[in-house]
Amino acid sequence: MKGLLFCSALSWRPKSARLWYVLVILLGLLNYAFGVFSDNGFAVAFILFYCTASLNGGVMMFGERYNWNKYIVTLPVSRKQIILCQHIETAAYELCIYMSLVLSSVAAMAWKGADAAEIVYDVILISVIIISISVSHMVSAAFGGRIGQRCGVLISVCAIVSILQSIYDFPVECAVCCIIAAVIIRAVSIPVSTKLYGKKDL
Amino acid sequence: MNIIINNTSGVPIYEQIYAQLKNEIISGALKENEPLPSIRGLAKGLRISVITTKRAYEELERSGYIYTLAGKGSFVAKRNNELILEEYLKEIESHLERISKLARAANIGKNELIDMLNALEED
Amino acid sequence: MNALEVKNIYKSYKKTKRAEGFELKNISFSLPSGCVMGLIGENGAGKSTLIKLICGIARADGGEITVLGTENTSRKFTFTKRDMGVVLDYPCFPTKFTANDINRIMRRAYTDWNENIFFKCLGTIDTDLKYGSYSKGMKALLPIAVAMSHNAKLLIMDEPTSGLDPIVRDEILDMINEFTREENRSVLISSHILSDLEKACDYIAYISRGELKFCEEKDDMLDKLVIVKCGEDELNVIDRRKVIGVRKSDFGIEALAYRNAVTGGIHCEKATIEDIMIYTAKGDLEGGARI
Repeated sequence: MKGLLFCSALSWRPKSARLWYVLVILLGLLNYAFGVFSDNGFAVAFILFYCTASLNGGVMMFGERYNWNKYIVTLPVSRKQIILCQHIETAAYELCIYMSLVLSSVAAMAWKGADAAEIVYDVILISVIIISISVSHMVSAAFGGRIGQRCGVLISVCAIVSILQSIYDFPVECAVCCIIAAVIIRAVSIPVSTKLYGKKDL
Repeated sequence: MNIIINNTSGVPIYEQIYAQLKNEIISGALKENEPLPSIRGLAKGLRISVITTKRAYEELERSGYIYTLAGKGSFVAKRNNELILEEYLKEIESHLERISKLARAANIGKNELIDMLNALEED
Repeated sequence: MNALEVKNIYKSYKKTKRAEGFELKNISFSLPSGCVMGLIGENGAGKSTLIKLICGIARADGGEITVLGTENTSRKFTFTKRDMGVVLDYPCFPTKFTANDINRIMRRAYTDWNENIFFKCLGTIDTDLKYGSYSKGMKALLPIAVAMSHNAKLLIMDEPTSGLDPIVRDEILDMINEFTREENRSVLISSHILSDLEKACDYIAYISRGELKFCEEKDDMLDKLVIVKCGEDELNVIDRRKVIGVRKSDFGIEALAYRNAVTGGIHCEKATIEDIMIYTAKGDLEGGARI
């Protein structure tokens, strides 16, 4: 397990995943600009979607791309641990994205004066991303990373487009509901993906 | 000690090991109570099967040339002169068989053979 | 004790648009502790599938596999895997990783990791070189080095020597040879290079079209069987039930038969594993023997 986590850390060291980190920082900057100038949120959503897609691909398809997923089964780890490790890895990198979003929004608020709608918007986006990644975890545990990634991307595109269309005035309750839904789906996705992965032929 | 395995001779490998170790013991190159190479060491050194080597050792033990102490390995058994004599006799017999075959083919009589033997002994 | 026991393993892959259907039919054999077993068979015979099933990469539809005393579907198998070294038949390390990275991962994965052995196995390979830029021989060597370096009791290798030059192959065989110097270490190795297996193995198992044709002690089998070269009438003298396969040409007959059935002055030669494999696969002889 320690070895697996270390392997994830290696594959995400800045040297190997430079582009991804650049995207996350760009995401923060754009979100800040969007907050300050109250511009269209499309660019933010687009980059966010891009980050998730590559995170998704990075975590779930990393093993399959190199046959590494078959190899690690022969190391002294259980399949449960392999899936758990994937979840930990995603969680860590999701955290990166969220920090970037929330911090930049807070910074924008400080610059411009309080506007809670900004944070609500971020929270809803974040929840959507959590849900899409959770679903794609389950799908890739059953059908492989490629299909999982496509599925996750599809969900986040649909959600983000519908969010953008109903322009920004979400009530706070809506954000709370989204968070609860995201947490529940994430909580379900861990045992479900473990179960699905346990019986799979790699 | 040299053991040479011939892969093309058609003689089973365990017999080759058996014969060569036996020769070492009979000729006295391996002294009484001297340890033999370990089965695994010999097999790995010669790059042959462990099972085959084990079989050769078992045969040697059965014929009384070596004895095995559990956990310690195999050792050369006490020199059994009768056994060795028998071994020599067997060899002489097989040579004689060839001699008589050759003699018959060349039409050489028994007396002539005995003369040859006498001449050899005089030298 | 047996290092590996395979009992009635059954696995079927359905025919799809992309892949041919395939079946492993009730395979059973066991590998005694301390021995080396060679797994042979034509392409697509099921060797790799069997090895995947043993390692737990794929799940069997029926039967059971016991590795080092633990069933490979049980929870305890996670710990048993500490004593297993596995080499798969395709490159399986991420291309961006260097040997140093692999060392750091494995140091955390295996409790008994020995990096001295690891780097010694790698020999002259630059440890800061990315796996993706390795040559074919180096790519093959890395997983073998990993398998050798954590004091495993069972090595499972799927074609570790395929596509390599004779020198590297010899080095790998040497490593396996050294590895099995210790009493409780066993190896299961599949290969198409039968001369390698002839050097390295104690047992040979032959799989053909998903079926286990034989699993025999190598030297015993090689001593028992001979290639007979003779004319047709001479062959008829030999008991049919002692002949395994026949190959006919206009100028005579070659057959694989039991040594004890060959009488008189019929010319016979020592059989090789290759002969045995070919005659078992092709020599469809009515009323003929099986090994």
